[in-house]
Amino acid sequence: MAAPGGPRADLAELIDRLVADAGGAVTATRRFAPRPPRLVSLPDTVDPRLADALRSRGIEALYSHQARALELLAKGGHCVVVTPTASGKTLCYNLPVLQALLTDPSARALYLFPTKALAQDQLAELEELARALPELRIHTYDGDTPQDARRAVRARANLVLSNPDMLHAGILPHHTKWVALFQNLRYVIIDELHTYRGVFGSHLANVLRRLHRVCRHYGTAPQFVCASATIANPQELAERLIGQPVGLVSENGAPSGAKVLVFYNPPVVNAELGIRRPYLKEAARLASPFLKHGISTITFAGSRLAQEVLLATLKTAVERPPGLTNVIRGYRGGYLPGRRREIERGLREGEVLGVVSTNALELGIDIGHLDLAVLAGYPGTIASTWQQIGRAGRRSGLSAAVLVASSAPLDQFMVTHPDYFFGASPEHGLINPDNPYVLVSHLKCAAFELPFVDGEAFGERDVGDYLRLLAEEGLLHAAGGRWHWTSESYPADHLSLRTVGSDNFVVIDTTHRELAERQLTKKRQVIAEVDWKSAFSMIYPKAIYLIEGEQFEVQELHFREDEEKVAYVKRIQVDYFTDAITAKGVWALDRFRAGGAGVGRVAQGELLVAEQVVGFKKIKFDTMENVGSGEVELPQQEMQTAGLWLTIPPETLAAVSRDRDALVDGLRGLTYLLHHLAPLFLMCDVRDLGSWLGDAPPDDGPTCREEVVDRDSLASGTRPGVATRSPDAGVGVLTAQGTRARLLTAERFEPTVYLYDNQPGGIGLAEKLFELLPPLLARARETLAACPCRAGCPSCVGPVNAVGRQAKPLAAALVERLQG
Amino acid sequence: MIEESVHPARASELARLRELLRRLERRPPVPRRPAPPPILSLETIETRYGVALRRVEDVPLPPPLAAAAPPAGTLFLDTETTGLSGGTGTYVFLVGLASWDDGRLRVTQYFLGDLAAEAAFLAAVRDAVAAARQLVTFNGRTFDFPLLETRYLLARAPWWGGEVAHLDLYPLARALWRARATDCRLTTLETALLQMDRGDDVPGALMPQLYFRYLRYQDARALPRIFAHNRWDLLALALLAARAEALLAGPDPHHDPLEWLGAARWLERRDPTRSAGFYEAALGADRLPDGARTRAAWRLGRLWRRAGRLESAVALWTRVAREDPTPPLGLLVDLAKLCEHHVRDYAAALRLALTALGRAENESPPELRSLVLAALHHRVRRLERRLSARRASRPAASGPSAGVEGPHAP
Repeated sequence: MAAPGGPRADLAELIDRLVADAGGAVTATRRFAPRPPRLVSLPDTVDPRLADALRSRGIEALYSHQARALELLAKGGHCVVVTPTASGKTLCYNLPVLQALLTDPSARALYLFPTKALAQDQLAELEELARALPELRIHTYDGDTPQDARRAVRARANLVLSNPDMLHAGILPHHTKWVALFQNLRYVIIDELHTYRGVFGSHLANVLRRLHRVCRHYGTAPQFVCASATIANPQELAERLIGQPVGLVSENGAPSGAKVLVFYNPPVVNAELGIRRPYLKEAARLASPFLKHGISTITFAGSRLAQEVLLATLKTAVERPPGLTNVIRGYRGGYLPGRRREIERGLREGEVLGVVSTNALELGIDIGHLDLAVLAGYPGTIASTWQQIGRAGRRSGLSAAVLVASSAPLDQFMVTHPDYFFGASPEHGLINPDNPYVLVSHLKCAAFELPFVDGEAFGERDVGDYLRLLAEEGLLHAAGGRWHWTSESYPADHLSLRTVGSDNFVVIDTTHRELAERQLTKKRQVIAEVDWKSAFSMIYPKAIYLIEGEQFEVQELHFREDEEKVAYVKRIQVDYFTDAITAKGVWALDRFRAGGAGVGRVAQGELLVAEQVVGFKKIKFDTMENVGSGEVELPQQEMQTAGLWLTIPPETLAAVSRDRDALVDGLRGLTYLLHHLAPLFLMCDVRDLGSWLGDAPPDDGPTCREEVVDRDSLASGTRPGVATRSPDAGVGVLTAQGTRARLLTAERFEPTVYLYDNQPGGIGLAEKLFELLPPLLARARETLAACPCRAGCPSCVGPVNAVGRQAKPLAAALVERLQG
Repeated sequence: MIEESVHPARASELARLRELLRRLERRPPVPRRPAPPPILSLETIETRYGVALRRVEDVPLPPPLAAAAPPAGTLFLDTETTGLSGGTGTYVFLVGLASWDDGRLRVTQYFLGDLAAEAAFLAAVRDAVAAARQLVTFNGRTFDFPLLETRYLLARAPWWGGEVAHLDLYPLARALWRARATDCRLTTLETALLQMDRGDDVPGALMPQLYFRYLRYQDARALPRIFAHNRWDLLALALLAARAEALLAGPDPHHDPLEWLGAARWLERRDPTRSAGFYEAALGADRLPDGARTRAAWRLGRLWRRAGRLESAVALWTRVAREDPTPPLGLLVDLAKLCEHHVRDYAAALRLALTALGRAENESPPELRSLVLAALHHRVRRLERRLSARRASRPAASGPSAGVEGPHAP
C-alpha cells in the first residue's frame, strides 16, 4: 500500500503538493527545525537497581529537564514539569518515586490521572520498568478495581495509581483503611495538570486541601510532582492547586525532528453568503492522499458527531480497495474500554494507519509516533491546538500538521491571523478553589474525614464562618473546640468533581436480539456509553448513532430516574446522519451586582438555563445538505449558573433604529460577537460560555425565585427560542426565533444580552467578564471595523444567513453607542 | 465606566451562602429549642482519658431459657451508630454489652454523651471488653467491628478487635433460618422464631436522628428510646444465640425440621457425622415439604458418598428419583455417575443421563447451559459406547434383548 521509498520522503512531497494545489487556501506554512537532545548523565545518587532497570530499557542518560526535576525534588520542594508530548515527561516523576520506594521499603506514592485509561496506560509503562524491581508493588485503585481486590491493594501496594474522583469519594473518607499509605506518603503525582482547569480544577484543589489535612493527621507532608501540557501559567496553576510554592521545569531537553505546520482555510463557494466548503469534507479530502501513501495520520474533530461524520467520510475515501478495512479507526469517549485498548494497540503496532479522534487522544495515552496530524476545526484553545499538533512527531525525521478551519469565527480569526496564533501565549489555567459552591461541598467532606479544630484554615482560608453555617444547618456539631460531622449522609457521595452527570447511558444493539434469544444467551450487546449531558442530543429516539462509521438507529431511550439508563438501537443503513435541534431559555434568578456600561445597563448574578431537544435535522453524508427533520419528545434539562446581562436602554435603541426587526438582527449579531470574543479575554474555551438574547429581568432586584421552582410555568409561560447545532458551525448558533417573535411584539422592548458560565454553579467567568466589558466592547468595535465582509460573516456577527441582513451595521452602531 | 453598586462584601456573601446551602440541602432550618431536663440517669465512670457514661440494667430471662447460659465469659455486643455508610465520619455512640448471668441478662450500655469525650468512651468500652472470652455479634464482622476499628484508629487508641474471640451470629443465623424467615435481619428473626414483640420500639434507622437531636438541643427525651432499642437488640441476639446453640446440640423434636436442615447444612463441612444425623432426622419427619425432602436426600447422599457409603447413596437417590417427578438435575447427574462408575449399570446411567439432558435444554442456568449440555452429551455418548461395547463382548447375554430394544419396543 505504501509507495516505494517509504513514507518519510512522501510526507515532505505530499505536504508540498498540498500547499501547491491549495493556492490561496493555505494561509500559513511554518517550518520548525529539528532539535538535538540535551543530555545529562545519570546521577550517581540513582539507586544502582534502578539505574540497571533504566539501562535495560535503553536509558543511559537523562534529558536535561529530567535531571532538573530530580534536582528540585532533592531539595525537598514540589515541582511542575511542562514539556511537549513524548519528551520523557513521565520519567521526571517516575525516577524520584521509584528511587524513594527502593531506598525505603515502607515509602508510598500516589499517582493521580484524570482518567482511568491514563492510569492503565501508566501502569503498563511502570510494570515494564518494574519487571526487574520486585520491591515495587504497583496497583491501580479506581472504580474498576474489584471489591475483593481492594483490601489487598490497600495493604500491599506501595505505588497506587488512581484518579481525583476516587481519592475524593473512595480513599479520603476511609483514610483509616489507608493508614499505611498516609503514614508513609512520600510523593503525590498529578499528571495532565492542564486538565484541572475551571470547576474541575477548583474541585481538585479542594480535594488536595483535604489530602493535606489527612496527611497532617498522620504526620506526613508528601512532595508533589505535576506534569502538564503547555499552558500559560503551569507554575501558578500548580501552586493554586497544591496551595504551596512549586518549582517550574520547562526547558525541554528531548530531541525532536523537523516539523511543518500548514493553516488551511476552505475556499469560499458563495461570497455573497460567506459560505465556505464544508470543513469536514475538506479535512477528509486533504488527509486522504497521505493515508493512501501509508502515512500514519491522526485526525482531530471538535465534537463526537463531527468525529463520526469525518470518520465515515474518510473511511469511504480511503478504505476503497478490498482488504483495506479497518486501517482507519475512530476514537472518542463513549467507546467501550476494550475497543479503545484495541485501537491504541493497533496504533502503537502500526496495524492501524489512521485514527479520527475527538480531543480524547489529546492527553498522554501512548499511541506511538504518528507522522501527520490533521485538525478539523480549530480546537478552541491555543494549548489544545499545540497539544493536538504535538500528536504527530518523532524524535527524528519529518512530521507535519494541518489545521483546517471551520467557518466559526474563532477558526476564521486564527486561520486568517496566523501571526496571532504563533505569537500567542497558550491559555491560562484558571481555577477558583474558594468558589463557595465548591468550597462548602468539600468542607463537608473534610469534616466527615476529620473534625475541624476551631480556627483551622482550609487551604489558606479561614473557614470559621462556613463551619458555623454548616452547624446551623445541622450538619456539624461543635464540641470541645472541634466541629464534628453529625449527619447520616456520606457527603462525598453527593458531590461529583465533574460537571457531567453521574449516570452514563449504555447503548445496546438489539439488531440480533431475537437471534440471540434463540441461542439462549442473555448477554447484552452493549456497544457504547454516552454521558448524561450528551445523551439527549445524541441518542434521542430516531437519532442515527454513529460508532466507527457504523450506523444505528435509536429505537428507545430510557432516561427516567427509576429506570436503568439505556438506549436500544438497531443497525441501519442510511445516507444521512442526524443533528439535534435544541430549544433553550434563560432566566435571571438573582442579581449580585449592577452597573452601567455607558448607556447600557449591566448586571451580574445567577441564571437558570434550560434546554430541551425538540427535534432533529437529517443531513446527507456526501453533500452535507439538510434532507429532512423529525420531532423528539424529551424532558427539559436545567442548569443554574452565574451570568451577566446587558440590557440595551430604549434611548440607545431609538438612536440606532426605529425598526425593531432590524434592531433584533443587530442584537443577535452583537450577542454572537460578544460570545465569541469573550473567550479571548477570559482565556477559556468558547464552549465554556453560553449566550442568549432575551428580555430584561424585572427592575426591582432579583426575579421571583418561586417562578423558577415551578417548572410548569417555565414551560408554558414563555416561548423558548431555538438553537441549532451542527458540526459545521462548531458551537451553538442561535436563531432565536421564539425570542425574536417575543421581542418584536413585547410591550416594553428591553432586549438583553445574556452571557453565562456553561457550568452548573458558574466558574467565575461571567463575574470576571463584568469587569472586562469595556475592553470587550472596544474589541468588538475594532473587529467590526476591520472585518472585510459586507453584511456579516462567521468572523464578526455570525454568518449573514443566521443573523440577518442588517446585523452587521446595526451591531456596529449599537456597540458604538454602548461604548459611549 | 462600570460602577459597582452596593455590595458590602462579607455580610451579603454569607447571606447568599446561607441561601445557597439551603438550596443545596433542600431542607428547612430547624429552630433552636430550650433543653428539657434529662430523663435517663447515667452512671459516670473514670477512665484515663476522662469521664465516660454508662448504664447498667438487668433484664430477667424467661425461666426455661434461664438455664441455657452460654459459656462463661461470653459478651453480646451491639452498637448504635450515626450512619450506615461507614467511613471516618460515622460515629459509634452507643455500645451495648450483655452477659448472661444467673437467669438474667445483665446489659451494660456505654454512651457517647459528648463527641469531645470519645477517647474516654472508647477506653471504657475497651476495659469492659478486655475481660471477655468471646464476643457475640449480629453482623459484627462487616458492620460493628470495622466501624469501631475506625473510631479507635482515629482516636489513636489501641484496637482490641484482634484480641478477643469473635462469633458473628449472622452467617450461622442465615444457614439455620433462611428457610424459615423472609430475610435474616435480627428483627425479622426475633419475630419469626422468638415471637418477640418490641411494642413501640423505635426502628433502628431513626437512631442517628434521635442522637443528633440529643446532641444539638441537649434533648434527652429520646435517650430512653435509644437505650431501649439497643437493649432489645441485645436481648434478641442473646436469645437467638441460645436457640442456635440448642439447635446445634442435636435434632430436638421441639424444633422445626427445616431448622434441622439448616443445622445439617451448617455442619456439613464442620462435623459431617452430626450433619448426616440431622439430615436423617429431617428425612424421617413428616412435616417436610417435598422439595426440601429431595434436596435433603441429595445432600445426605453426598455426605455418604464422601464417607464411602456408596450403596446407601445409590439406594437413597434411586428412591428419591422415583418418588420425586422432577428431582434436581444435579441429583440425576450424581446418580448417573454412581451408576456408571460404581454400580456399572450403564443402562440405568444412560436413562438418567438422557432424562437430565432432556431437561437441561430448558432448565439449566443460561450462563452454564452450553457447558452443561456439552458435559451431558459427552456422558451420553460414552455410556452408549460402553453399552454397545458390553453388548459386543457379551453377545449371548445382550443379543436377544438388543433385538427387543427396537424403536417400537413396548
